[in-house]
Amino acid sequence: MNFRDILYMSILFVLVPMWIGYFWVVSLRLRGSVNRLLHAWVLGFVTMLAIAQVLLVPLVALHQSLTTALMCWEMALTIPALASFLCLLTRSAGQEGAFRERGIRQGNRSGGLRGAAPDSGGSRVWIVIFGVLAGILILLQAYIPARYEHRDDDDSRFVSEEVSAVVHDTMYWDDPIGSDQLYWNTGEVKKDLTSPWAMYVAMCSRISGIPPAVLSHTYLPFFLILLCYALYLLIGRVLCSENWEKIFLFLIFLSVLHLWGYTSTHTLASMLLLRIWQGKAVCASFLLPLLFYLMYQVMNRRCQKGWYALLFVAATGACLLSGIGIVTGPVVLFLYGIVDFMYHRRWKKTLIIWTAALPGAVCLAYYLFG
Amino acid sequence: MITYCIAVWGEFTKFIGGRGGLAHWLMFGAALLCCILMGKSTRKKLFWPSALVLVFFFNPLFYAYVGTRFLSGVYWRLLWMLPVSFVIAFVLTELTFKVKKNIFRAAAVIAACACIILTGRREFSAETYSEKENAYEIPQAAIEISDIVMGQLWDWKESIIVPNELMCYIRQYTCAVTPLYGRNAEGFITNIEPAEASVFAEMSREEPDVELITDVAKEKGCRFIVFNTSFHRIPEDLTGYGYEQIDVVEDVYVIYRQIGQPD
Repeated sequence: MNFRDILYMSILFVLVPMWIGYFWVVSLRLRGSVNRLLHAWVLGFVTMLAIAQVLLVPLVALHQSLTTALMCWEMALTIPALASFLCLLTRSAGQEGAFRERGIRQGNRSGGLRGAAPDSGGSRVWIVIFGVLAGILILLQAYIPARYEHRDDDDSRFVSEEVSAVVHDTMYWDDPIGSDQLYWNTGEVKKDLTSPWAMYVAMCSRISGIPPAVLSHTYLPFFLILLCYALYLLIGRVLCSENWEKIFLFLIFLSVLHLWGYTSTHTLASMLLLRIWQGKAVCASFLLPLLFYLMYQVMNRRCQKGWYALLFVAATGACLLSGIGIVTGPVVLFLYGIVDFMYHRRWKKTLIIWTAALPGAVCLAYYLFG
Repeated sequence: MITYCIAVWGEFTKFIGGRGGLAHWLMFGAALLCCILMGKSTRKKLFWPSALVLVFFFNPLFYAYVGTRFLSGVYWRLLWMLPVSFVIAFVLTELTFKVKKNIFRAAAVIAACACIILTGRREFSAETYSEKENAYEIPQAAIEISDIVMGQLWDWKESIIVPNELMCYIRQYTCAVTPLYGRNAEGFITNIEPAEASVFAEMSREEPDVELITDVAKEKGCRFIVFNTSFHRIPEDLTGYGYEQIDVVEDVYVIYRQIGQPD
């Protein structure tokens, strides 16, 4: 790891997502600094994935170069980035004050530790102890995969595709073994076209100048595992009613379950800690839990409309990651839609939830019949 | 139908890792049952979605019509839709919070963690992680061999035959050096040609048929062949086969180049 690379990766995987995600934070009227920061990071990242998916699929099909895809992606990202900037500009001190006042009046202290700690059921000392412990365990999980080496044979496809894309400025043109040109426009297998995660990594590699193998094996694990835990913290917040002592305890148990979860190479723990740089692992560890989280928000009787929009965004992002994202994304939405209907009996809402599965359904239809 | 039920069960045991993973799944089952008693919100968020996913997964009809056709070999991945660790972690959190006194609560947390640790298996161990050989996290030999070959490129790429332990890694470093066969030699995604398969079979043997390998190499335009002398027992001099030794990497990987081709 060197400082330059860490700087690039921090910008690509932390600052830019946060900047883009700020738009969602304002739209959803989220409060509290920690809450806003985590939401901005998680939602910004999934927005970047969704935008990449919308652009990459047609560009791969049209045999366009990686440079073209990268330019289109950067231009497209400026739209939500500008939206976030406008949100920042228009946010006057008066509005902020009014929000804060309203938040306190409603007893909504979904924000920082400072606000939640004293009256949320936990003593400050134990919050600090559990918080520090959770922090250590999470950092350990992010550090070890970045510091040490784990070899996975699946990389002989994914990383090779990324190397070809970066060196030859193509997208899925080369055979990942022989480097010979493929005479069709869907990659080695059809699902490469509908789930071009390798090209997403190749774009990041091109921007940062970090070779794909180094990016995948050293930097992505560190940043993606932290991102996953940011999402798990948000899930903990919802499940544990914003009691920070409980949330940190939840994260400790989660960390221990993951650290000792190597019962097979297929479990979520193995996906998270052994090969998080692969699209299917990001799908299992980040995207599906994100769909759970979004559904927890949507299943509230009074939910902001922005959460519905995010369902579409997340479902589109799931398609980018892996063929299994194309299948499981719609299935999760379908099943949670049933649960929501069981409780609220609102057809319109259920239909909206199911409609969010459309991006996956389209990709699946192409995969099966295209 | 029974065949499908057995097949689904097989997918499930493949996912959990047989008996080794049973304890955590029993924990999940117990936690899921606890969720029923934990109020409407928990049932809505954790119990019903999990129950529906389980019904979905263990449905032999779904497996028969969808699983076998479209998810062949990866049906177990549907279990990622189950929030297993979230359910266990949440229920353990709630249960430990039933203990009122802080010090006893801390003891309960330690006991719960010990339970998970004793019934699970470490994710970070010598089996899964090792010291890095380089920033690419691929064998150093793959990098050094690629660099040597890249220094002698005749065309925009060179085809190469490498020992089996390196065949997955060369292309992760460069696309200018391409193995004659890769993971597909083991039947992954695409099949390889009979001639390539015969080379792979020979390279898997301790005493490979050098003549067969060099003949196929010449036919396929492979100017470079690498043998692992700690495994392969081959004659030192391959000039009789039309290849000459040009370098040795890590004392064991001997690189041969076809004689009579321009550098």
